[in-house]
Amino acid sequence: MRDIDRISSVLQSGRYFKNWPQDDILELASLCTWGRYEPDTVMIRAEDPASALFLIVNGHVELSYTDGDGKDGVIDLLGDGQLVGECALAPDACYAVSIKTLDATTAIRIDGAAFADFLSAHFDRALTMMSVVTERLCQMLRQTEELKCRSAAQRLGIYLLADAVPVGDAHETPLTMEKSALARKIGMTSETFSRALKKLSEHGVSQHSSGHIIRIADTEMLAEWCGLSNSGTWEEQSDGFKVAI
Amino acid sequence: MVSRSLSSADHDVISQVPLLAALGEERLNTLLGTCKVESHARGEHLFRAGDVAEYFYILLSGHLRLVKTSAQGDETVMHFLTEAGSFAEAVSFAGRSYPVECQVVENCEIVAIPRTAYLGILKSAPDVLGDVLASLLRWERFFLEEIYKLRHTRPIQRIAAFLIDFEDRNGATIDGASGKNFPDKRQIASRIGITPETFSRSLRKLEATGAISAGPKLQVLDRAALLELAR
Repeated sequence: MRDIDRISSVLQSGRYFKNWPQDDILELASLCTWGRYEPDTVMIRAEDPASALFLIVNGHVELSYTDGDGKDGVIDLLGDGQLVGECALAPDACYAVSIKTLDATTAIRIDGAAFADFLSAHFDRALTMMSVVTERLCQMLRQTEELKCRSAAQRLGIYLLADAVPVGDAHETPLTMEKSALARKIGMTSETFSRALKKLSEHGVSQHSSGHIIRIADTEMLAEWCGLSNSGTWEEQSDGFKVAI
Repeated sequence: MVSRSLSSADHDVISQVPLLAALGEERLNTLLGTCKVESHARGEHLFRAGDVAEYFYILLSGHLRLVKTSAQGDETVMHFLTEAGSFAEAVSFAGRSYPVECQVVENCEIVAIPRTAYLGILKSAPDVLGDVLASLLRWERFFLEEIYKLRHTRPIQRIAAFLIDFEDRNGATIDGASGKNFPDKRQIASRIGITPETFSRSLRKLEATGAISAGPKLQVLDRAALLELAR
């Protein structure tokens, strides 16, 4: 299969471009290239001129932010299907964050200037990209709210609830990434993560299979302790919160 | 709420807002042709969470706060707006609902820009789309900074950084004499994401350094020391 066909196929099956007409997908694919990155590769460096967007096809990347005094810290982890570097669509913009791969990662690189020209000629597609930016901003708003309002243990509890599947008379959540990476994603240190798990053990949460499986004895009780409301199911709410945190 | 026509001074302020400056003078005049300056009194709401975002806003003067209310009824201050500029544009362009409510803290003047009118003009000016996206992305910077601070800084740093930032954005020393004050202490605690108890403890520590006076009204006494504590 040619690169452009593979790229078109990925673009069309992803969340951002799935409703685009085939002609527009093909035109966008012509602005893209495949990229394969080794673990610990810096894909984007904060304050460098923003020249491209990246759609993560598979793998995980870490976003870090540098403050005015030059100190930096991880603010999020992203994985398959996520788009990063939208600022490359704005004229003369610089990247706001640094992005580093955590594991071997495949990504589609979209040329920023060429994509911006394409959007200028396709107003409806430009509105789609504005929606993408808006969705990102709303996620960041929810993330900010979560960090302000919930304890580390509550945030971890919500994250575990979102992935829990029924097993016998309990629920289980398989951990798909290292605990240290998960801790960074939820915004806590490894030590705080361990304390949060210990705190959750008071609410029916236990570790199995060398910590790779988390068992939740009573999801309703845990959801209530985590502050999920009675309106709507906790599954819906925890999914939404998981995206946020 | 009362309204009046835009003055040339209002027009000057609005034409500095990047989102609108990008349109150019002729298109901007067309857009503003049907707009009014609205005066809202303390305690009023510009919009509630869940309302469809038919408008985005330009703040000309006054003080607003954006508040998120949880399903349990707990309020969290997400942002104080005190400077002239646009807000709510991202959700409005996307045709979504406002995710927060906007409360008037001090009497304010705003201009409500209809979403459909703005997008109609934008459709005829695709060359400015990049500038519009750039304007939306300034909010991304705001949230990145917020998340970074919440994850990686201590409460005392957050308080110091908030006080410095609030003074900077108001362009004057806030000492009560100028009629400008810092927001209520509980509101600041909510805004920077710490409990009232931790806020009180941290404030006492800050006061002990001589950088601030904590009561009855907050006042910055030694800005250089406060800057150092914010780092």
